[in-house]
Amino acid sequence: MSRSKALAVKYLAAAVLFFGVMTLAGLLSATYYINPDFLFGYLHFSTAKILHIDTMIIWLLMGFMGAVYWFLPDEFGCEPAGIAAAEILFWVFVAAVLVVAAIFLFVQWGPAIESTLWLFQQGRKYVEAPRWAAIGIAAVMLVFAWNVIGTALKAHRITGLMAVMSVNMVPLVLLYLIALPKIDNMAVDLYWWWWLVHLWVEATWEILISCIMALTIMRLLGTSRRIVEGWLYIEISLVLGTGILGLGHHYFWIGTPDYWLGIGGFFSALEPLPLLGMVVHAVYDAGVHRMRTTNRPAFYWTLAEAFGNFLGGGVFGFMITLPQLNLFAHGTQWTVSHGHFAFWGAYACGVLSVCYIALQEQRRLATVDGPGWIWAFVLLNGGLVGMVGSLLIAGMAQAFFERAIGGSTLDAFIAGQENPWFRLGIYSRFGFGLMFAAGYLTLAWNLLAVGRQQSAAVARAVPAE
Amino acid sequence: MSPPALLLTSLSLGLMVLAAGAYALLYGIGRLKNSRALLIAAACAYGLLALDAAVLVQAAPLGQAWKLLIAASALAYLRIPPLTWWYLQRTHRDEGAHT
Repeated sequence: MSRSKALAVKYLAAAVLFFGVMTLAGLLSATYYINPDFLFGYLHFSTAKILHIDTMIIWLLMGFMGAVYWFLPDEFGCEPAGIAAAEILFWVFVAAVLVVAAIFLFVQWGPAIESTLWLFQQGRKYVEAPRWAAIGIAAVMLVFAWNVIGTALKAHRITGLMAVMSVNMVPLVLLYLIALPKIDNMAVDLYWWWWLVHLWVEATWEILISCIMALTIMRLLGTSRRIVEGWLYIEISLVLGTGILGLGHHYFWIGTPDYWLGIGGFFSALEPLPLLGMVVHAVYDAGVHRMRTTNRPAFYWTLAEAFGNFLGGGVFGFMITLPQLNLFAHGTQWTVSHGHFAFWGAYACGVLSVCYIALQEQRRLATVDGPGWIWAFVLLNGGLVGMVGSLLIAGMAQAFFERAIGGSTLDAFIAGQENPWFRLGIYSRFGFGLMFAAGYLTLAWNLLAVGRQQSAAVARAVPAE
Repeated sequence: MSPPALLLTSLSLGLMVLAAGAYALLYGIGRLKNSRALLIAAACAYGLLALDAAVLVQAAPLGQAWKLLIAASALAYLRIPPLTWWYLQRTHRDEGAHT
């Protein structure tokens, strides 16, 4: 196995590990809603939530990096440029994440002085990591970008797919730099912070996962590069065309000028359109190949990606994206519901698909199948759909009772939190969270165990090269 | 916007995209299997979408520009599945001719 693929396996393993940490932190966060006294004085809800959302970013990012390192040598026919630096930075990355997690757990915050930003945390959602860690992540991203772009230069050839990915590396690195400056004005800070959060997630990450899924489809179904690249260009044009100015839906209520209401609402309303094309494409690919593949889990996770993206991003997003409705829904469990579904559909399913592809090649399996992945697939997707459904009920109750009827007063907030519909949603979210956690454990076990006996048999039959 | 209108408008918007998804799914499977029944079901799903959009345009407490956007989106949803299908078939056919 090439050094790049060995590194990919490490990144994918770390991604699955942090996926587990994210799940555990999510369960902890859900517990506080049922029992607000939980771990009182030891671990605040805010810390559990930080761990939940930050590890979500980290595991997906590591998953993307693993996927890219996996496909890179096949695309260029050589080891990536700067692979030695990438190998070192993997351990730096993992160590930094662990140290930051330990700081969040045991130190949590510092005095309101500059050194707190450098040493403990920056207090900005999703990018709470202290500056030393943010600089480290920027260095990892920079080397990652060089691994892709430098390899294209080294190989003296480039495919359309890799050209898209190479260009995408520039905003991927540059946008992350917004995690570093301290801006005192909160409206200005949020204005730029959304460039990082939204444009990473709904622009650069979308392109990255589109490239990864294109490579996945080529590998899984044998679809030709020409077809995949043609579709990739269309999809990226549509996603960027709607997604970049769709940024405006985050500018509705942070103190930006009124014109963002129109811009954000208009472009966000167009965002489901390309997702509909993806649904048709998924049906076409699945049908033309008659669902035949040597790697069923990877194939089904790819399908889950197309449908999950449509439902989570398209349906759940469109319910709250117009400013008249967003006025009541933003900051409630309703947006949490959309966020969970969209991240799961758009990114998580794709990363899990690549995990199974890498596993098949690494263990030299002719086929990947069996009941384990089906259990994991059903429990994870069932748990996720149950959670987002529960959060939708809770969020609608908040928007209805607390915002629309109660007028967003403190009393109305308390009444909203005590409303039976809200409580029902919060309790059932916890129940489905447990189901999701069971799905994670099944997935982890399946990834460890699948094909072990089969590959051991192959190894016995074929002596080591 | 009144509290009931908030929920009804939001749910109607969600239903519109959901119906679009059902239309796309049924259209795709119907074309794959050459099934008239599935294509009729796809048309029904689009009918639901169009009806939902009409109700939104008629009754939702939204401004004229937003209603125009909803109506235009409903028309765009009608064309996306056939256009995507046509494009996919064409690229696969061309690919077959090249190989």
